[in-house]
Amino acid sequence: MVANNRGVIYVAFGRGARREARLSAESLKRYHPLMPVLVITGRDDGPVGWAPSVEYDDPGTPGRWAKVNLDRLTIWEDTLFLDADTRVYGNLEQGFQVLSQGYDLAMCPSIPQQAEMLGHLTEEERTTTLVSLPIEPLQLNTGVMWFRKTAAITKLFAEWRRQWKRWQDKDQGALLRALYQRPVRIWLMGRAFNAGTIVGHRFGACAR
Amino acid sequence: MAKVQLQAVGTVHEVDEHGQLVIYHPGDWFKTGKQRAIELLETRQAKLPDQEQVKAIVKEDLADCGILSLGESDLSAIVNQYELKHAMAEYPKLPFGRTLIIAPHLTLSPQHVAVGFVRIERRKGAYASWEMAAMLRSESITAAQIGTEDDQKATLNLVGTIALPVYDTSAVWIRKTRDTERMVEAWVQNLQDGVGDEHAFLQALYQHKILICSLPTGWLGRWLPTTEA
Repeated sequence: MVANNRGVIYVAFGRGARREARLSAESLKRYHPLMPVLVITGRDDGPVGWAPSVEYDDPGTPGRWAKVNLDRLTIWEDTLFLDADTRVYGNLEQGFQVLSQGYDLAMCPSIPQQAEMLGHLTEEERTTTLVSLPIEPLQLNTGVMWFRKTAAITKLFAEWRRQWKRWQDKDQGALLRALYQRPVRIWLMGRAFNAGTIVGHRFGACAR
Repeated sequence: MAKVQLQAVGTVHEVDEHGQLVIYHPGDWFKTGKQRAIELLETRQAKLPDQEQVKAIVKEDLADCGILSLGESDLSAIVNQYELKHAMAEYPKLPFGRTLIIAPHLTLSPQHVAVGFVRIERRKGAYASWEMAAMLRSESITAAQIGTEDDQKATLNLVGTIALPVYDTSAVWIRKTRDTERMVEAWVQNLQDGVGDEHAFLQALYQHKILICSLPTGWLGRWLPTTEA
């Protein structure tokens, strides 16, 4: 565990994601010049810009296996995960403050809710997820997440991995199913922190 | 967990013990867990031939539940349906094992009440269970857009930001625990200090770290069946 106990982690597999992660990390540096950054990337891909990187396997839909293993990959007690295609436009201290208050996780609700929720999943996974959960769960976006290494988070991530392995595709449906089995203390942040004025989100940019 | 046998009214999707999706067509009989059974029954996706059986299943599950209205409310239909306890008070409190705290103007149905309570049921053998369920007030309105300047400043000082979603406090389901009792005490203190509803709730929630199941905006209105049985 490193001395300053907090940092930002990216997952970047493939040229597009690596480009986006580098740009995101540069935008982060303008507001948090001393914040340590770690990038999880593919074997033999090398570093992403100036940030240290760790190589990891990437089965299934790119980047998702690393995401559901963030609790094992992070080297800090408090971690902010940022999707590679985010851009930082402001101070992100508030999320860490939420963790210091005693919350396990801070993240934002997704933009698509209700009938549109989980529309990015396969039909089978979407139907199974909605059937497995109580009526109309709130969809959460995993692109910006602050989390603290607590016993509850460890259990949540273990369940998230188990759920993700069922389809090995996207991660948000798996997270909702995991949360239902392993509730944690979540503090909701506003949209400004994901696809907003404090953290922008260039959805789909990694594929370009 | 004891399974409940139901008959599908529409097409019902279930997940079997192997995690596989199973489809039941109208008229098919199938078994499911009690929580899921209550949701299917209350949303008219499934039925039992004997309505008294439905009531018995739900009543048994809601034995520790009651409604606290923060003012005059005609809840006789809901209370009688499931023999729920009912109390009235000026400020929130937790008189029951599971309490639904409602604003006096709110229109509710028995289905709303039952499904909300099921959400916060303490699940046997589970590592943790949700302690509270509450809807978000809006998909776009944040704490920066509601309340007085003093309320916003207090929330900002506490949380570090007011770019936060706010909760709809007109219906909050709460299971009594040490943490939720403390949270409700703080909520009440904020209200008595003159803090507006949403900020009072948000500030108390932040300070007491409840296992809250946040529900989407308008959750109460959307999934209710359009015709009564």
